[in-house]
Amino acid sequence: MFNLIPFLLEEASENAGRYDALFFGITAITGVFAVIVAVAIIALTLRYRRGQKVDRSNAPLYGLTIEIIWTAVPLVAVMGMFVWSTTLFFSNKKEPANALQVYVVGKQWMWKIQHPEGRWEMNELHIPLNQPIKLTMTSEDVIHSFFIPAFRLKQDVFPGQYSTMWFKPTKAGTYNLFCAEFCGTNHSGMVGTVTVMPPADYQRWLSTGTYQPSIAAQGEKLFRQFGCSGCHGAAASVRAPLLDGIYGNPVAVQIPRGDVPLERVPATTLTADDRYIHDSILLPEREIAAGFKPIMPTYKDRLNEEQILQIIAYLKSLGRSNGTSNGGASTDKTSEMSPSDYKARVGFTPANLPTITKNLKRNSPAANNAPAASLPGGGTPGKVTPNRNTPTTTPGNRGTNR
Amino acid sequence: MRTDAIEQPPPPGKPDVTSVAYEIPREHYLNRDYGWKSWLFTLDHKRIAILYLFSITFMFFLGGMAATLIRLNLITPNSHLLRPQTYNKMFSAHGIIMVFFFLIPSIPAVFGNFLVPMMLGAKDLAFPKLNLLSWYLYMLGSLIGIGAVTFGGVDTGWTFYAPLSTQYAYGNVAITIVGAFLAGFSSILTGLNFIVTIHKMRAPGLTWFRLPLFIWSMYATSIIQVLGTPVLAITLLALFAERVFHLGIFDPKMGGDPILMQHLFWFYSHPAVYIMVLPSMAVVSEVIACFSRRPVFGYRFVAFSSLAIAVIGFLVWGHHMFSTTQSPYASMIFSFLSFLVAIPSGIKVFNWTATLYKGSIRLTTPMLYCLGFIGLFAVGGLTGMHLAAVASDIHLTDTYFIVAHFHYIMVGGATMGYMAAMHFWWPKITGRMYNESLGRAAAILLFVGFNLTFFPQFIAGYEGMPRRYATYAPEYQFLNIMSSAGASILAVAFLLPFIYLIWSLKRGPIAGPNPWRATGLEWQTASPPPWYNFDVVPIVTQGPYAYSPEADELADAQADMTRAQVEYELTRREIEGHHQKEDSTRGV
Amino acid sequence: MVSETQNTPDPNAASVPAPAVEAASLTAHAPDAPHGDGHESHGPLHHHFDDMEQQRESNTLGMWLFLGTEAMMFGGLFLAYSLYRWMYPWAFHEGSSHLNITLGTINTFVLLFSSLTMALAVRCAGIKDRKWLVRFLILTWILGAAFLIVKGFEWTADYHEGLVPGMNWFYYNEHPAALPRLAEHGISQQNVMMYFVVYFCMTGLHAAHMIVGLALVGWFTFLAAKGRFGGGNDQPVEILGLYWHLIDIIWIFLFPLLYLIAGFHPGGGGH
Repeated sequence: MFNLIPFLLEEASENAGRYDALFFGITAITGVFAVIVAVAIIALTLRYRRGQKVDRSNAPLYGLTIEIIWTAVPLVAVMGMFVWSTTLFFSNKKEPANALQVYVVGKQWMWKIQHPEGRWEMNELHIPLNQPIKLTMTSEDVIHSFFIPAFRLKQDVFPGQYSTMWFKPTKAGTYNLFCAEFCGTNHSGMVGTVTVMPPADYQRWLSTGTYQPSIAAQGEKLFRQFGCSGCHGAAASVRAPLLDGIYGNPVAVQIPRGDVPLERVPATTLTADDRYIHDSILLPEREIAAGFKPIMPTYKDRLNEEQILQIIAYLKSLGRSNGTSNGGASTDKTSEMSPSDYKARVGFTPANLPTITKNLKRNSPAANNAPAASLPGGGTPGKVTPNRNTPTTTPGNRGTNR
Repeated sequence: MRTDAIEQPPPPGKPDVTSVAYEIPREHYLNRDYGWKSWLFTLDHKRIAILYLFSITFMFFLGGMAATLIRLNLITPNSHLLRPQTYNKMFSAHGIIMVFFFLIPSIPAVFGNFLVPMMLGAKDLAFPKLNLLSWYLYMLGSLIGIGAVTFGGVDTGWTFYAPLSTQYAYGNVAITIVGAFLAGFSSILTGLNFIVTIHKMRAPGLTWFRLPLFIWSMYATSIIQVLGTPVLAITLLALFAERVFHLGIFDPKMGGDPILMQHLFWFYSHPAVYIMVLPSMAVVSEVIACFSRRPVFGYRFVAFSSLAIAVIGFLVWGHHMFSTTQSPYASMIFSFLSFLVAIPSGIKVFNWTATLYKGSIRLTTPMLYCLGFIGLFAVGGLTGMHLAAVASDIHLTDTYFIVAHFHYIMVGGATMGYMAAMHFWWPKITGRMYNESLGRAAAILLFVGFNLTFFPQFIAGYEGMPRRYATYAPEYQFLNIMSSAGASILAVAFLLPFIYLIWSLKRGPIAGPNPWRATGLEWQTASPPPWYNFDVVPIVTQGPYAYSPEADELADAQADMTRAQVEYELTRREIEGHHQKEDSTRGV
Repeated sequence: MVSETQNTPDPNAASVPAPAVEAASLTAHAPDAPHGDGHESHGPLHHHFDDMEQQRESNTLGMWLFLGTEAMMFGGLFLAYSLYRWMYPWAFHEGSSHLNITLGTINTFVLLFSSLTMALAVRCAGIKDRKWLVRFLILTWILGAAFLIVKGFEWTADYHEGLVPGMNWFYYNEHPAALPRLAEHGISQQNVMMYFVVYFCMTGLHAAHMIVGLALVGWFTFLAAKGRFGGGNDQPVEILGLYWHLIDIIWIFLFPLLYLIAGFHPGGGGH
């Protein structure tokens, strides 16, 4: 009648084994303390209960040595656990470069999941075995949380932000997928399954079922349909940055400030990641490609989160940075412009153009492998751009820079 | 009457029928005047404590009813009993009532109110009118709150996360928020009153290090109440404004930040956990000392660990947000501080345990509750380590592991402490003893039922069952059935004291001023205490807990002997009388 | 623990072996002195206190704690202010430029002056000058009311201009010409709205405190006129003064943070 599962939950991802080691490690350490306390209480209570003929003379009132011991020993123990867990946490933050990108949109009360090749599914996630998967997630309404117990992973999903998580499934099978953050009436119905299948099966699966044009192709359609290409296309008359090959590369932006006109704002470099493109579409006024006028309208009420993801996929397909695309035609033009070019085009020159250019050149080739290298380089550090840019270079960090 | 013959005071920790040698004093705070006015307009801290006791007990049973429905519903995976919407309202009601209207006021408002002035040798709290006002605010807030969660309901959980609570949830969110706001205000005023009283109203000679540890813990609690609760108040006001006017403060679509709300909320709500559990620690320190018949081991360490908990407790709120998009470096620091806060709690547990050493231990009802408290609090605190570790928390957060963890702290800790206090000071409050056997049975039932209810939830949580689920995957059913079975035992364990304590009001043996032979100032006056607590102002010349296990053992042995002699004498007389009677009947 | 006890006039206590240590202050109140609720304050000393000094210190400490809670409460709003100003610096600049600095400045001086009159009222209570106590309290009340009236005019103006989020927000519909200026500085009107949300929350909460303060000052004026603060009972006035100064200090923070950040125009900024 009951499905009596064993107490050991299946370990189906690379992370799960390490997680369980930590979990049971902590359980063991804390268990030792629990047992000591329990045994001490029971033993002392039995030995010294009323009427027992035992020596009660000179009961100590305090003992500095013993106090220090039972302060220091737990302190060492908790610091050990802290170091162990924090090391694991940060090592998990480093996502592999070859991760398969899957997009997830949560809404009350379902998960909509889209694979790069265009196949989409509802409340189900099919993934190939032994292939690192990176999920980029957002929500259309309230806060959700994407939770796969067998992978020992969970990530809250916020409206208006991207959050990411990655994992490498190591065991074929079907696992539970839950929404873990209470999201309203049918919260407990926001569940699904994750199916890990051998790569060959996965390829077969991809080619069947609900099939849409590839996600990038849909994005391209939207890119034309909503007039993006009118400005950002190669033949555009309006001055706007070309977007070919921009994805994953550093871009120079100016972040407007309250007290200084735009042309005096020093530029800074960011990585053009999902967050950046998402925000550029919805909040174009926030980070302005250096040297361009802030004329792009917002697409806030015109594109939904799914469509934005499709556009991002399209931009990505325009030449994901491989280190060489940067110098080609598909480069962010800002990095090549001379000060006079800038002035001719937009009427002013950012105060620190040489610095930006230098930074861009230095950072570009390495941008993908060493995210830390693209920390804000432009401007005067500390003064101009508070660390609002750093999060973008730290995977899994706060998705948006507002 | 046979009892008239016994003049020996009852042996400590063994109140029994022989104690009826005492009489209830002619005039005390309960019978000084009568009528509803004398209660509703009273400024006496003891009467206000009784008012709180009634209202809080009522709230506890309401919250318990919601819990009953939750556990019944979870017996089957498919939510046969309640619709998901109703289930959501039930767990929200359970959380809101239990946290805001039961746990936070429980020990401070009832026992703190009753005992703080008495332990200080004062006539009352510093601001009696403020004290009454805080009860009225509490009543207003809790009535609005329970009105809102019963008629129409709220389905946001007690955490009111935006944007769910501000835009998407149905029901009386705004009204409930007003209720919680008012209750919070009441909590601030109580804390403020205590701090001033502890600073300024101590009896002559009662220096800081002569204070009972109860006072130290209440002091730490009050600091949190005074500094933390205003932040909750402003958060709730902002939520209210957001819900009613839709200003966008927490709405990402309008440029707001939902995570700001979580930060503000947990800045209060994490320390609030210590508002709930520190008072229980206060009780445990008193009870353990009394029934081990020796001073608390390492007094200063226990005293300062309370303050350490209050201070560090303010710096750990971010550990509720490890799975959000909080910066990993922030998470690291919050994780570090969360590990640190375990240390003072550990110091307390070890010191209590050491107090048992060379004591003369009496396993009375309050003592059983306290030993249970130490065990359950230790489990709750130690599983907190899993949650302080960022890597480990990410899998466990928002699952039943969390539910089990905080119930170990809030029921195993706070509520066990509340029950211990109830039994320990019941004779002081009412002047009468309850039935000791039933008391012990209830304490043991509570321990067993509690573990049966909540231990399986650790396992369910590790296996990934998310919290706040009306329906769940069938593989979790076995654990849920265990939980629900345990909950039924728990229900009995809570109803039982309710019955025998009420029974004791009329029929219980008279306790006398100091049935436990405890040393606190509150025991140096009549039970129930007179209007102004002390007939004479006490002067204190030494520290608390002047117990001596050896002397008590000796006295006990003597008392036992005397009692045996008396018993013998009485039986002898009875038999004799019987014979005489028989003789006389025969003679007639 | 209790080794000694003290005699009280109460005969019930006679059974207690009592050394005759005399401390008159401790014995001031027999336990069954006043019936009724036992706490009615007819004289300056409440029954549960031992002496005036204890009562005074308790009241002062209680009030300072209360001010601490107020600081924490406003602290939440200041946090929100900091976050959103950090997120939308220009929007805060833009929003601030809609405020009337002249009225704000006048109000600041009105409130500062009211603090002075309040301080003088406290002084008069201390030296038992009933006439001037009443006068200064009335003056404080008038200044406080003037502040609120000016604030009311400001809010009404905001309302008519369409700058009240959640109720009346249409300013940028009526002034589309301002929109390019916003775009130039990289903000949307919603960000400006966030400034006004913060502005109304902060000034609203402050005004609520002002209203409470006015009610109290009015009540105290009445009591002062009846002579309730004579005879060493001047502490309530001092405590009212503390509250009034707190409101003043909060405004001293609000004024620059809300009004002056648009300051001297961009372009001239020395960053």
